[in-house]
Amino acid sequence: MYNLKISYGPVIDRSLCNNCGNCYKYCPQDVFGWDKEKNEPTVNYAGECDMCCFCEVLCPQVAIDVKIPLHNLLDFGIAPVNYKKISDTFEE
Amino acid sequence: MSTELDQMVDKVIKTDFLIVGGGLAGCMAAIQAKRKNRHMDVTLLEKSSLPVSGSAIGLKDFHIEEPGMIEHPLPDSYTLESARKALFGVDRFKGMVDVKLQYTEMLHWLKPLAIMEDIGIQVREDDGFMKGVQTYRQGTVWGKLAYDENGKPYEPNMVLYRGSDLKAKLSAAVIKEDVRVLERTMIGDIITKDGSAVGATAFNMRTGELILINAKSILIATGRVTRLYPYPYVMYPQNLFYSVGFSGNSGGGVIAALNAGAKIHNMEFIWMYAVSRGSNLSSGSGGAGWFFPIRKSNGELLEHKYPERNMLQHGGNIPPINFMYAPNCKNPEIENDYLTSHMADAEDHEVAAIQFCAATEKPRSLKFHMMAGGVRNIRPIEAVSLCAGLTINGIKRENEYGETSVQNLYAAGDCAGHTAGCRALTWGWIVGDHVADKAKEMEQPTYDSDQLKQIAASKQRIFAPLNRSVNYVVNPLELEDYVRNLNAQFVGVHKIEPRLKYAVNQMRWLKEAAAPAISVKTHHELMRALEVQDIIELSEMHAYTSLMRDESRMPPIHNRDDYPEQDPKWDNKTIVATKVNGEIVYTTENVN
Repeated sequence: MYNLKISYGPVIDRSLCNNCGNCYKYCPQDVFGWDKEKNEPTVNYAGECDMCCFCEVLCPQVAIDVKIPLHNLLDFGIAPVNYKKISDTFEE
Repeated sequence: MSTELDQMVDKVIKTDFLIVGGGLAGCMAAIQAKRKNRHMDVTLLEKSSLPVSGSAIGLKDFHIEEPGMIEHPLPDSYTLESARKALFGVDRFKGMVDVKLQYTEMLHWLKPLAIMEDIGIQVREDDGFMKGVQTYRQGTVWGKLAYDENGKPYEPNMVLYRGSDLKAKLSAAVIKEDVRVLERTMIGDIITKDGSAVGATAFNMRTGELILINAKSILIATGRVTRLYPYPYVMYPQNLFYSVGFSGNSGGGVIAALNAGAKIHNMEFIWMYAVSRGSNLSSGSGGAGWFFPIRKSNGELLEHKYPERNMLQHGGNIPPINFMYAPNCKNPEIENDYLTSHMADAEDHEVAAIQFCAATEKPRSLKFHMMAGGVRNIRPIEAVSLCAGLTINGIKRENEYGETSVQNLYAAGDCAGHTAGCRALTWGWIVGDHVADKAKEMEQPTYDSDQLKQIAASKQRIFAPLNRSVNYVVNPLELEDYVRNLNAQFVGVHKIEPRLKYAVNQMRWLKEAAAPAISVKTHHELMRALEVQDIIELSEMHAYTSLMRDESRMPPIHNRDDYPEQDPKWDNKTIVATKVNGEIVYTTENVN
């Protein structure tokens, strides 16, 4: 089932994240929050993400993939069936 | 007195120079002020995170106002009249900008470039010379020069440099100069005393801390208002923040200046971009080749058709290059066609230009291209994106130091109109330089009961939406979406009187009917709540001034379908908005 939820914005790969806090520190739109108990970043306001992708660039662990909205993919001629996460492109 | 103040706010900071907004203008002002007067205390408020905030992440061009004129100081032959006729001069803007400011800008235009070189921006090529290009002749054709009939190259009008790290290096320089930087902090209200700005309230969107900054001088440099209109194509679900500029900019500085008594002018003029679907561009990238070359459906190249890259004769104005290709309200030839950004058969120099530009943009630009397998692709161009700023609207500056009608309150950068990009750097430099001298002679302002009243009222205003008890909870983002769509449908490019009247009345009604029902739970959301109130206020000014100016000037920047001609009665007249007893009052003033 699908519903009207935010389908774009930063996705943190917890297996890679080392909780350095760069995403929380630098996000221009203040999309991230900080979970004080777990001492790790959270994505609080994905709907306010403008896809600038600074978090991707500033993450030393390449643990963040900013999911691009479907509209952009299709208009840009990127086939969703070939979509690769940024970390996958690094491994190649 | 100080106890009373301490009870009211969480922190009090005393400073010589308060800069609101850490973009190009704000950073340059801070650097120049500190370099000129080392003992000065400078505080910079930044709503976002300093290294990555603002409309410009990088900048790759520095305009030379007059083609060929790169001398400094100015030659004696350069006069006010020259400034009037310059490439981005008063004549181009149909008399709507102040020629004295234009001239002042020319006196100082090269100085930020020297600072940029000093902080490590590569403004020169490897051979030690700067690279000049002739965009007014050649548009995006970077690799070639245009020659006149005698075989002599035309003079360049722009310096190109490698500035993809401009913002990062500026912010590093700001910190190195020992400027106090308050990040995630947005301006609340400016505190005034006897018609002079003496401080400001600010609040931290993460901690909720209310800060009072007691300042001798204040610079508003909050950038263009990106969020007056919806982006022309939207995602599912609606995203309010995907935009050509920095979507943190909501006009907070402009409204703070208005509330402090400063004049806001030219709000009817709104900048327009053509955008190619799928990508996202700013003037920097668009100006230099983001979606070039553009073809009509019959394969005709638009730049061949309009070699001067200037569609003045079709009603399009201001040529910085991507704009005049916007589906112009008066050019059915283009409007009724299917235009594409046709990069499939792009030449190598065009590909290089695009990659060069994308590197000065947010990282998403290169990411999108990487995912699409390179820049050689074809995308439709059909939409129009409107944003305030980048044109000539904003806080009115009264003298050659960028001071507003409120004493010691300055404006620079895109929030002041006509000063985006490289000229934001120039105006930041001018204000920083002036304030550094002035601060030595000024006393730290003192507050009496009137100022304390203002601070109390500001606190009340800022925190009112937090956990407000209402029957219908208005979500600030939902309200913002409504307002921006209202602008698109009732103001927009094709303005007519009845629709404008409705927009004005509706915006005024929203202030009474919807804004007081905004209720939020966190301080981050509180920031959005304050932003939407600013956006409503700006929208009202935008609609009302559009209604007042019953002519078309620089269409589509101000295009009245019911008054399609430029009317001489509006020549040299700017519409000024000021706040008197809580009401916005509109008057006209002579520009020059």
